[in-house]
Formats: sequence, C-alpha cells, structure tokens
Amino acid sequence: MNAVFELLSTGHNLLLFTVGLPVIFAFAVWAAGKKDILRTAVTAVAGIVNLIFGCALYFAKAEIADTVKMTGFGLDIDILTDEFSALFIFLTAAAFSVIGIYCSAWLNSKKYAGLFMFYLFISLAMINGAFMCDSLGAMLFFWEGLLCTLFGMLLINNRENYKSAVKALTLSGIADLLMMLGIIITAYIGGSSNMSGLSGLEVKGAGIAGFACLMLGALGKSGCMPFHSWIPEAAGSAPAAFMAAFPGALEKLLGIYLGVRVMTQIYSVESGSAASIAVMTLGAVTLVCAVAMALIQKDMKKLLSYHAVSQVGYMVLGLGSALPVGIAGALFHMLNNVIYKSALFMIAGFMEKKLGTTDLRSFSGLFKKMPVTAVCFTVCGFSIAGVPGFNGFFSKELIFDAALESHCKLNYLFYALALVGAFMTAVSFLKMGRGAFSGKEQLPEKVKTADEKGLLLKLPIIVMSALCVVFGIFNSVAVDGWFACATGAEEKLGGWPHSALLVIISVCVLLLALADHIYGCKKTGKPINAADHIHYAPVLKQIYSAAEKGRFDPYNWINGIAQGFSFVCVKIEQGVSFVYDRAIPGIVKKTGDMLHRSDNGSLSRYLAGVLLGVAVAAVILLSKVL
Amino acid sequence: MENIIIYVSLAALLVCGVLAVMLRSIIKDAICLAAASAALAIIMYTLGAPWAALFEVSVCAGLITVIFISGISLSHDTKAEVRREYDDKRRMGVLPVVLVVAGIVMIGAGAAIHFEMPVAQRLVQDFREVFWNSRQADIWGQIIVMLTGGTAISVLIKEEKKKS
Amino acid sequence: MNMLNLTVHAMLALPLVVLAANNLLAKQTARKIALYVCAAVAFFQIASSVTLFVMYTRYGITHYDFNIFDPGQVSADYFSVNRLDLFLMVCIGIVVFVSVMLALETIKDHKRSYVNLLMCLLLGMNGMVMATDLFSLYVFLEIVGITSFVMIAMFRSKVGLEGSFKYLVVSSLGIVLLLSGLALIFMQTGTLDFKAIGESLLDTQDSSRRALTYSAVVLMISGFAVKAGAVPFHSWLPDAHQSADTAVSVLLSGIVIKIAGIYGLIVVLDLFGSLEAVRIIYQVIGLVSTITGAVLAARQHHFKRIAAYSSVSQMGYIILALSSGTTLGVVGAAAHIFSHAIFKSTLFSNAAAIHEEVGVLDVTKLGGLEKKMPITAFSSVIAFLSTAGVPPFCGFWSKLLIVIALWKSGDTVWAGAALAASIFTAVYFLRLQRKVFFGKLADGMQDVREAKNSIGFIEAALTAVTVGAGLLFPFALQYLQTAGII
Repeated sequence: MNAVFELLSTGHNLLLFTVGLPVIFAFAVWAAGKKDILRTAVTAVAGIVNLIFGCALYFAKAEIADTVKMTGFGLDIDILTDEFSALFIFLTAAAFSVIGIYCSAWLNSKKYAGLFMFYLFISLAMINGAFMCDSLGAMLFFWEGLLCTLFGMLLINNRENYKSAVKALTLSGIADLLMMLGIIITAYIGGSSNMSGLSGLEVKGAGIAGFACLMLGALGKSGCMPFHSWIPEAAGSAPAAFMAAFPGALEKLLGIYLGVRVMTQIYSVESGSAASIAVMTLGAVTLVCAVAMALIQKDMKKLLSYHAVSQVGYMVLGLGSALPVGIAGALFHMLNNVIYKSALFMIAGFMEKKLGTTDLRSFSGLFKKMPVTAVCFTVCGFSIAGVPGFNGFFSKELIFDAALESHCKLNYLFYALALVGAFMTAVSFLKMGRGAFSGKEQLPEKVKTADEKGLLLKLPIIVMSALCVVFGIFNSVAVDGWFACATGAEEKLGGWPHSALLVIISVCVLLLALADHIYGCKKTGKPINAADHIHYAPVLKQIYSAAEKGRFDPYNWINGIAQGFSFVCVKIEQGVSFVYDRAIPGIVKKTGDMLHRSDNGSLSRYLAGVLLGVAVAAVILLSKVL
Repeated sequence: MENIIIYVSLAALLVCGVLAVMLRSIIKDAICLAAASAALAIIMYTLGAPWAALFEVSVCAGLITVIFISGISLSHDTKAEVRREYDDKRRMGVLPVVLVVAGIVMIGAGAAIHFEMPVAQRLVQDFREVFWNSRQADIWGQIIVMLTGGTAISVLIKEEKKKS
Repeated sequence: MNMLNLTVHAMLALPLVVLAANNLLAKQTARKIALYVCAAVAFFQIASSVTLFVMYTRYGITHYDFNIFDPGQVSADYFSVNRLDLFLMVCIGIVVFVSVMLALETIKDHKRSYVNLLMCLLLGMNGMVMATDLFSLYVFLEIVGITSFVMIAMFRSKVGLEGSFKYLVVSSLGIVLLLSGLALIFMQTGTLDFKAIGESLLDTQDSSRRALTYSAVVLMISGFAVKAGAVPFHSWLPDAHQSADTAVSVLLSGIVIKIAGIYGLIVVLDLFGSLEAVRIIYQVIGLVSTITGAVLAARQHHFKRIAAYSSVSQMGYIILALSSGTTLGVVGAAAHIFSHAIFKSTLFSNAAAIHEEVGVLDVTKLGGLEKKMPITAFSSVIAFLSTAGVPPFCGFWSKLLIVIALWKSGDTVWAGAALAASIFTAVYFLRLQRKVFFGKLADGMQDVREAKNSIGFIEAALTAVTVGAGLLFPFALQYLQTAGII
C-alpha cells in the first residue's frame, strides 16, 4: 500500500492516475461497447484499480501537496489531498467499484451501453479531480465537467425528448454559476484562490454573499432545493443505472464534501448564528417538502428520487447546525445514503429490467418470485426509515441531536420538522415495500414471469444492503474514525445514542407511521394507496395538485421570468438592429459610393492621388517641424 | 562657361522631354528621348561625373534607342503613330505650361529660403575601384537587373512570336 | 555556423542557378520539373531562414554581414541579414511556395516564363531585405518592379496589359519620388549607407540642409507608400491584382507589396524614426488606408478586387503598427505581415479554385458553393476568422500585438481606432463569404467539383498553418521574450 502511495505522491502522478487513468478506461469501455462481458470486465478492473488508489491515498494517512504546472501560462493546479479529501476519494472509489459493475451489467444489450459507461468514467475522473484540487479554479473546472457528462447521460437514448436533459443542465448549471460567484467573492475576501489559504472567514458583508453562493452552489449540486426538480424528471426518462450512480451516490459525495469544507474550514460559522439558521432552514424545508412529494408518487423511481432529495435535506440540516455532532451526523448520513439509496435505485433498476416498468400500480406481491430483492429492499427501507440497529438510525439520531442542541431558538421547530420527515419517510417506504412485495401476486401485463436471475445485478445490491447492516454495527468506525478529521470532536459520537429520550421519540414516530399505514390500507384496500388519505386531505390536496402542476418548481419560475425578459430584449433588439442594419451600413455605403466614384480607373486620377499623398505627408511634416 | 553649358543642356533636356511626350509619331518620340539622354550626359560630364556620362550616353541614348526602334518596328505598321484615343491635344498642351510654372515656383522657393546647394564630393578614386570595393551589392544587383530585363523582354516577345 | 551562413549566400544565388537551368535544359524536361524545383527552392528558403533565426538567437548573434564575391572577408557589409530579415525571408518563401502550388494548376502554357520571372522576383526580394545601402535597396526594388510588371502582363490579355501599364506608370512616379529623396540625401552626405545616414543628418544648424532632409524623408515615404499600396497611393493595386493570373496575384498581394513597400517604410522608420512627424504620417496613412480599403472592398463585385482592397486595408494596419515606433510595433508589423501573407494566400487559393472549377469570379454570379467545394469553403472561413481577429487564429495575435504596441507607446486613441477598424474588415469579408460560399447554389453550378490537387492541398496546408500558428503564438512570444527581442 505504501508503495502505491509513493507512486501517487507527486502532483503529476496523482493527476495522471486518478484523473487520467479513468479517462483512458473511459475510452476503453466505450470501445468495448456492446460486448457485455468485456465491458463489465473493464469496469471491474477500473473500479478495483481506482479503489486501490483510493485506499492508498486514505490509509497512508499522509498528505500530498503539490503544484502541477499547466503549460506555463500561470495556470497552476495546486493539489492537496489531506485526510478529508483522501477519505472522499476512497469513498467514491468504493462506491464506484460496486455501482459501476451494476451499471455495466444493467446496460447489457442496450445499444448505448458503451457511451453511458464512457460518461460514467469521465465523471469519475472529474470527481477525483475535484476532490484533490486545492486551487478553487481548478476544482471549478472539474466540477463543471460533470455538467457535460450529466447532460450527455440524460440525452442518451432520449434525443427527441431532451427537455429533461436541458432542465438538468440548466439547474445544475445555475448551481455551478452560483458556486463560481461564491468562489470569486470568497477568494477576493480571503485573498487566496486556494482552499488551504482560506480559513475562518467571517460571514459578514461580502462574506454573506460568498457563503450563500458557495453553499447554494455546493448543496444544489447534491440536489438540495431549489435545484432539485431535475432529479424526479430525470427519473422518468433516464436509465435507472444513471439514477443509481448520480443522484444516488456521486453527487452527494461531491456536494457534501464542499459543503463541509465551507462550513468548517473556509467560513467560521457559529451554531445559532444567522448563517447556521439559514442553512438549517434550507435543510428542513427540503426535507419536508421533498418527502411530502414522495408520499404521493406511484412510480418507484420517482418516489426514490424525491426521497434522495429529502435525505439531502437531512444532511443539510445536520451541516447547518455547525456543531461537531451535526457535521458528523451529516457526513455519516451521506455515507449511509450512498449505500442505501444507491441500493434502492439499483433495486428499482433491477425491477425495471425484469418487469419492464416501475409503476407501483402495475405489480405487487413479488416476494415469492424475488425473495433476495425483497429482503434487500426491506433492509434498505429499514435503514432509511431509521429503524434502530441499522445505519440510518444512527445517523438520523446524530442529526436529531444536532437539531436540538443547536443554539438557536427554533431548534425545537427543526426537530419537529425532522420528525415529520421521518414519519413521512417511513410511511412512504411502507407503502412502497408492501405494495411491491407483499400481497397478492400481480405482474404487469405483457410480462409472463419474473425471476431473480442476474448475478452481477444482484451482487452489488446485496453488498450494499450488507453494508447497511455492517455500518449499523460498526458505526463508530465511520463516525469517530473516518469523519473525525472533519468534525474535530473530542468526545466519541459513535455508538448507541446518548439520549434515550430521543430514541424513544423516534421509535414512537415509526410506530405512528406503521399505524397510519395500516389505517390507510384498511381505508383504500391496497397498500399502494395507503398514503392517499394524506394526499387528499383538505388543504394538502390543493397544495399537492399545484405541486404536480409544477407551480412550485423553480425551473418553471425561471422559465416565466425568462419569457418576460426575452420580450424586453426583443424590443431592445429591434431598436439596436435599426442602428446596425440601417443607419451604420447606410453611412458606410454612402461613403463607399463616394470613394468609389473617385476611383474610376483613370490613370491621371491615380497619379493625382499619389501627389495628393505627398502633399499630405509634407503638410504633416511641416506642421511638426516648424 | 560651365554654367552656360549646364543651363543650355537643362533647357534642351526639358524641351526634348516634352516633345517626347507630345509628338504623335512614336519613332520621333524615341529619338527625342535619345536627345534628352544626350543632354543629360552633357550635364553629368560638366558636373564632374565622366563615367556616369559615358554610361548614360552609351546605354540610354544608344542601346535603349536601338531597342525601342526595333520594338516599334516589330509591333507597328508603317505609320507608327500614337493611337487616336491616346492623343489628347488639349491635355498635352497644358504640359509645357505646367512644367515652366513649376520650375519658376521651385526656383522662387529655393531663393526664398536662401537655398544653397551643397556640392557633392568629387570622387577621386578610379570608378573601377569604387565599383568593386564599395559597391559590390550594386554589381550583383545590376547583373540581376540585366538578367531580369532580358527575361522580361523575352517573355513578352515570346508571346508575340507564338501568336504570330 | 559558417556552413549555415552560406545558406544566406545561397539565397542570393540559388535562384540564378534555377534560372539558368530552366533555360538551358530541354524544353520538355524544363516544363515538367521547373515548378517543382521552384517549390523546392522556396522550401529551402523557409527552412534555412528558420534554422538561421533559431541559431542566431541561440548564439546571440544579431546580424551577419557578408559579401557575395569574397565570402569571409572580414569587414564586408555589402549585404547584411538580421533576424527581421530572416523572418521576412520566411514569409517570402511561404508565399512563393503557395504561388508555385497555384501555378501548377492555373498556368498551363507559360510555365518556363513564369519560372524565369519568379526566380528573378525571388532574387529581387531577397536582395532588398539584405541590402545595407539605400541605392542597393533601390536597385533590387527595380528588379522586383520589373518582374511584377511583366508577370501581370505575361498572358497578354487586354485587361492584363492595362493593369500592368497602370501599375508601371504609378510605380514609376513612386520610384521618381524615391530617387529624388535618395538624391537629396546623397547631396548632403555623399553616401547612402544605412550606417552613415540617419538622424545625424538633422544635427546641423543649417536650416536649408534640414529642409533638404525633411523633403527627402517625405519623398522616400511617398515612394515606398506607393509600392506598399497605402491610401492615397493605392490606386494601382486593384487593377493590377484583377488582371493578373491568380498565381501572380498571390505574389503581389502576399509579399511584393510588403517587401517593396512595407520593408522600405521600416527602413525609413529605422533611419528617421525619432522624428515625430514620421510617426504621425504613418499613423494617418495607416488609419486612412485601413478604413478606406475596407469601405471600398465592401462595394466590389470581383473576387480579386475585394482581395486587393483588403490588402490595402491590411497594409494600413501594418503601417499603423509601425507608427508606434517601438520594437514591439515592428514585431507586431512582422507578425501581421506573416498573418496577412497566410490569409491572403488562402483567399487567393480559393479564388484560383473557384476560377478553375467555375470560371467566373464575379461574386454576384456565385453562390452556395459551400456544398460543392467544402474544403475551399472551410479554408475561406478560417481565413476570414483569422483576418477578423478571432482567437485562436494567428490574425488575432498579430492584431493584438499591434493594438498593444500602440497602447504602450501612448497612442491609445489610435489603438482604439485600430480595434474599431477591425469591424470594417469583418464587413467586407463576411459579405464575400456569404455571397460566394453560403446561401443558395447559383445557376449553372451543379457540376462544380472540389478544387484540384495542388490547390486543395495548399488550401488545407494554409489552414493548418493559420490554426497552428495561432495556437503556437504564445509560445513564439515567449521565445521572443527569452531572445530579448520584446
């Protein structure tokens, strides 16, 4: 391991191996294309190689700080892999090696397989690059590179219906622009364009703008509101493999990485300060609204994508508390999400492959035919709901703790909102799980039978579900071991939560959710409709229908503003084009005609011209000399 | 004495030059050019550049005139006159007037600013020495000029031969 | 090092060898290989000039003085070559190469004559940049002039003769002005060596002598400006370009007006540049040329006339660059000479291609050729982008250098004017592109095919050079900085 670390320890090599190598693999896997076995093999090899590098970087417990010169233009990339970024490279590598195999297997016999994996690998290269850059400009470059791959992946197989790709690009692009603005302001205030050179800036004056832009940009990348609306829309049109990789895993890692850096290192945020409250509000709002939308979804992928957004809300809530327990909770929750969310998306993709659809209304009772899947789903569902013993429980408890302990006056409100979120999460997962797997068996029309074949598809799911359990048991390894570098906590935060009261409240919420579910089942008869009484409740009905129409979608707001703006622009354009199309060319043409008439081919005129020139030169010289 | 010779030659130069432009018969124009060159050669000799005068007379008044006349005879029929459309008596009539007026103006201007012509240093060396030792670039240039001139003429005449 | 220096001697002598061979060999053989040998000579010139430039920079040599007849004579300085001259010789080589490539396709009957004249022209231009004495400069200038006249008239078309004649007359007036200027200087110093004349002539208290020097400066500038095609001395340019065969127009526009005219202006700047009036004259001439050339180009119908007025406009740019009076200005002018040579050559290659395939060069009759001649259209667009100053092509860098040079020497207004004048450049060029290549396919153009071999090849090569030079320009600038030039 040390040897590998030595290999990586110069800036050039690091760049080459963690960024360049995935790019080379990208081309290899594109070339492998539709040859399924070859493609999967290349993916596996690449995942393992990348994982080795990630392990080497993290477990060597040493920093690499270097500067890579780029063509001598003064564009140097400063590289710094301290413990925190090395950890993230390691986690990304681990996630990628599992998810990558799943993606490649899922794409079997699809004609865009090679292209999709190509984009995925380039994304990995970009993410690795983003993690290891110290200079913010270079990090921005890598960050924005993901926009291209995002767009590409959404456009695959979807050329006619490119609207969701454009939406994703627009929202992500705006988030990135905000981040760029934030970087510029922060660099200006802090006087350095490297992350290591910025520390402890105050959130005052320009700092407010810088902090806000940076946080919005970073968290927006992971899908926090208001940049979230492309994820559910992509769930409809993009391949399920994409959902597993991107909103499930990779984007969270990236966004939370920068979020933690901003909160803990670059800016100094006190718990209970206005900045902290703002961030926590953002998290709470995201949390509640997204899970409320998730509740009413009937399509599995859409439901899961709303959940992904909601879980990001939890992370932001923890982050915003600016307490070590909150940061640790956020980071651990991020890790857990990477594990179980990607597993859930992978399950959805698996079912899509087998059944042809993920509409929950079209199938049910698949426990007998797909037992392993059902078990994994149950494990992940318990984790995400926060059932004690699983990893999600521990991270949620940490976040609840942080919400309560934060020094602001609204901490009870935040806690209450978090609980509401937990309630609705549990309800929707009960709905989904029971709806899909229990009850009378029913398959979608046109599907004769369902089975569980496909080892390479199942194995990643099983691995991830197992990790849920593992991290539930060994949570202190992560919380106190891995994430301590960021939280800077003295006390041990892992292990069973300190406050028994909180645990009891959480368990009560879960039981409440179960009761609600049973009530809903009795009322409507089918588990899938168990949440309908919430959906069609008096006030909520109107809110929900407005949301479905997209009234709350910031993207549509942007579109509306854009249309008004474009009207004004058209008017200005008409005025300007008059000047450019008529006035100026008219003058030029008249001048040209005048000159043209004087240049008529007559030799004597030519000679006269020469003499005129001599005269002019003489006049100028005389005027200067006398 | 020298001054008289210079002034007379200058006048001859002017007159022959104007005639060369204004006469209708091309052969007469060529002969006037030769006379102008001869006048110029006299001026050069009188100003103390005998070798320049020698070259001027032999090349310009001699060789060039020969080439002109052979060119004219090759290209024109017996009358050898300037074509009607190029013969504009009115414009031509202006030329001597313009020249004389310009001359008067320049002399007047020169006198007004108390113009004294600096005298160029007389060359005491033999021209061959000068030519070889200090003007080698010019030798090379002259060789190439002659080659070029020959090439140019042969290109132009070759087309004539091809056509006819 | 000495071996390399011999290549400079070769550049003054090799064309003569080719000339002799061309005339002494049997007609058929000569016709077949003459053009290829010319291309080889041009290539040799490019290669050796570049090598010498690099060598000189490496060893810190600023110039090399030599003598044709006794090489190695220590104090000989009949010819002198410094790095600017080497750079200009590279440009000469490039344009001659392009002209030969075009001639392979466009000149069918008079190959030997063309080669003869081309070699004389090459000699004349090389001699001009290497001369150390105003009179030698004049002699080689005459060589350039004679060969250009004849090359334009070579094909004996009526319009060719007319264009050549007008060029001859106007150029003669220019030469008269130049010679008068030389005479006025000679009267005072008895020598015309670059080293002996210069601002020292102005040290005298005698006002009449100073007046003579000033007159000489004005006359010399006018003479060279005629040759360069600056406004208002430019009138011969369009007629000469239009009537000549494309291979000859490339030479004229691409390099002759620069070496005969601009190089002369550089020499005058070198000698008398400390006179503020000289710089102001350059500024005025430069700006007027840029704008007038562009405005007039927008009204023309004939492809080559548009190109000719475009040359006038670009010469204005170069003269503006010179007007800054600094080394950076000269470097900018040299860079623009290079860029302009490349894109003018591309433009004329396109003209040759169109003329060969379509037979018509009137832009009102052409249209939509992009579908039939994609390579030509593409190279034309790249040339346009380079002319307009769009990064990353080399035209952008040379224009940038010019603007920076003007800015740094304090003429911020002129720098701004130069920038604004770029818009005019874009106007006429866009019009040309749109009319010729884009839009609806004109009638009778259905069977038009892509340009033939060597024309297509040279278009592609020039496009590659435009892009490559543009991308490598920053490195070239760095190299020049380390070489201490800027």
